Amino acid sequence: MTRASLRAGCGGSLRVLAAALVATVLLGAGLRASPVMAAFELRDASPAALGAVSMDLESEPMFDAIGPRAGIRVGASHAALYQIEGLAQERAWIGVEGRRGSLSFACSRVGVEGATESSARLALRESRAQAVALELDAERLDLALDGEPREGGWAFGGWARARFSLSRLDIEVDVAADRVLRSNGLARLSVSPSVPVAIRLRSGGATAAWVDRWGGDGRRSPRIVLEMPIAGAARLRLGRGEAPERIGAALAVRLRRIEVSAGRIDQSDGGVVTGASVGLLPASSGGIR
Amino acid sequence: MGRIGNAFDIMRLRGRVATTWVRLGCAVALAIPAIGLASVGATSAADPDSVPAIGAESYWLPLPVEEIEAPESLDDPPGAAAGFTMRATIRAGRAAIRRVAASRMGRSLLVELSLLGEGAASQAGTISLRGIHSGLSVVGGRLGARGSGSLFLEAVGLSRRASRVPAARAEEPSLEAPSTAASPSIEGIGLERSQRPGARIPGVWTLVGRRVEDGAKVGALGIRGAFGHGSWGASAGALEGAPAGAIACELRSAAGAAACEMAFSREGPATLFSAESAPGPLRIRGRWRQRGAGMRRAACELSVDGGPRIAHAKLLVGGGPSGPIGAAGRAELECRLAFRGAGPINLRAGRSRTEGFSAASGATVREERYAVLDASIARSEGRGFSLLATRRARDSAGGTRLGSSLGGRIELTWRGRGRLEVLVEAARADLAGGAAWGSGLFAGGSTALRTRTKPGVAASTRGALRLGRWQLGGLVEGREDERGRRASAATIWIQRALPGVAH
Repeated sequence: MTRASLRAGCGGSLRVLAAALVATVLLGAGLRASPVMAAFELRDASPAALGAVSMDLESEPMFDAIGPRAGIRVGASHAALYQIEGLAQERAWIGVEGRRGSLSFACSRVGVEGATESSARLALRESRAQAVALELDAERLDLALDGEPREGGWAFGGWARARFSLSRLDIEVDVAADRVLRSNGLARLSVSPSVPVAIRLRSGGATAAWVDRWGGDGRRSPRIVLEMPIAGAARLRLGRGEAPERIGAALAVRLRRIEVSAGRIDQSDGGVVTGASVGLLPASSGGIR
Repeated sequence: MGRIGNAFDIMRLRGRVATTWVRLGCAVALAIPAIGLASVGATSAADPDSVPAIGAESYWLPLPVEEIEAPESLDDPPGAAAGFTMRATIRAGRAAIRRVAASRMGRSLLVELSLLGEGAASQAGTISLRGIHSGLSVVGGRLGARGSGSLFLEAVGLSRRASRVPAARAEEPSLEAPSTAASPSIEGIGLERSQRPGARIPGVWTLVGRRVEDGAKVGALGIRGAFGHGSWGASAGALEGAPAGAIACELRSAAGAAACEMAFSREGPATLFSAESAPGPLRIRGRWRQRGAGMRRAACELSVDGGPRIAHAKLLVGGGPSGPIGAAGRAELECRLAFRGAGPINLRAGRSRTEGFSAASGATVREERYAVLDASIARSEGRGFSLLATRRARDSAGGTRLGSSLGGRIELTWRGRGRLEVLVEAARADLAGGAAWGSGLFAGGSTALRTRTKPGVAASTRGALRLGRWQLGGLVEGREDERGRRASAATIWIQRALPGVAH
């Protein structure tokens, strides 16, 4: 789809513009329109998200911070979407992690030349060590099309995380109110809320998780994610998701405080997303809680 | 039926994190059927925190809002007597005061004034004078009657017909200002004098006026007395000239309680009978009602509950009329696991069958299977987190229609002064006749199940803050359907406690 055709299809309607961008991503790849992706739903294509088959959610770090010391986490990723030249997501993040919680900021950009979605996200998260931990999120989402005024708005949400401790097993249950408060600009762009739910079992550095995302339009997207350490300095994340069918894998290697990772998603209808990232981990990062 | 917020009283948050694998296993096992990964069913149960007294209703999970007799009163702030109460709502950007009430207590008299913010101004006010020691009360203006036996008040148009069969009661009604304009009420005057403990003179009550909704003349008179192990009551009245009357008797003993109300009206004679055993390892309840009109006149509810200390289960079987000529039956099992130091895990699983008839489709039969789960996952000091899930499957001639919901609730308390409850829930429903249940919060502290026929995400926040004798509370909720339409509403209440009255 060309820039001219995009313009012609826009007609000034912002909702049509958003739909045009999504159509560019999906139809340009020669795919049927996937029910998973709507406006601003492709939010994280870093390897950690690809391994978790969860481009529609913020990814969990593959090397978690442990211990009481504070530290800074910073990194950047690049993902090539559906083997289309120029269609990519760039993402960068920085965060301060401490004993009681963390504050992080991430920004990303996805699209092709002349049609991009960009987002900036600020998250304030309590430490997972608490029995019930909370997280508050604020996002700025913008849609830019050549020749059209930039449109966007604010979205707010939150997470609640409950944690059980067994003898050698940790269980976490997460429920989120994702983008549940939105400004009018996002309502015009058809940005909808969702309720992601996750149940994670952690033991010995390995994690098994069942994750689902209930959308405001009734869609579900269940997935199972497994994560395990490899030789202490590397971690492997594998995922299998439905609606649409997809599998994902990611490998992260830690060299002192440097993390290098790569991952990919293969969809049942032929779409492939690959990504790589490099980052600086907090000094206390481990991967085994 | 009164408030049902006992399972959601977050001011009672105590305890520590649950750490037993049994608890987790139960939560997961209970969650699976509720979210549709397995067939509906319940396998285990647990004990309630406290055993309800004879005659007391106990629900571990919220009821569907259509089964609550007076859902409009659930938005009223908690607490009976208040020096000042104000309730306001904000919908679609427009604020409106729904009710303002003020009380003044003297040495021997409590004076209450209530004003509704809806309807005609001439029908909005209620004034009541209540003798603190004499037991004599006079209520004038717009007034309603609440809390008496159900058949007589139904017959004279002062209460709605409830689908669930209530317990029979012989108490005199409480004459009071209606909490909302939608509450059944009359424009008139009422008088009541309650029986003093140990006195032989029975209590008496009367009211006369016109029903607000249609102007029908209503008059009623009743007496109520108590004896050693019970009480009795007799009432007579008329609705638009049609006479009605009732007698009621209530007997209590260490082994249990039984009550009966017999009423007559222009529809014919009606009877309500209820009996229950005393609290113990096994408790049995039975209720039976026969109305005077309709093709299906009889209704009953039978329940058995019991179980060990940490696990309790209640089996409820009932049946009765549905609409003018239809019938509905239901069987449900409610289970509760309550480990020490952890919040409860509650599950209700049931099946219902509704038979009806319509001119378009003839005789119809609809069967429904449902499950409701409210599992407290973890609690820490001042915090609690619960997982909510529901599932409904309707079988009819057109096939099986599904509806389900999944969400979470976070509860925060602050030094016993403030509390905040945040609930988010996503619902899915087959658009061709499916229905899901969502949790509906009410500003007064109660929760009920609301039917949702479209998919969407709903979020609600409810809180209260106490500052001395003042309390400020409210509810904010927002919903979204598949078309992205948002609807938000808020209810705010302010209350000032009377001196010496704890809330």
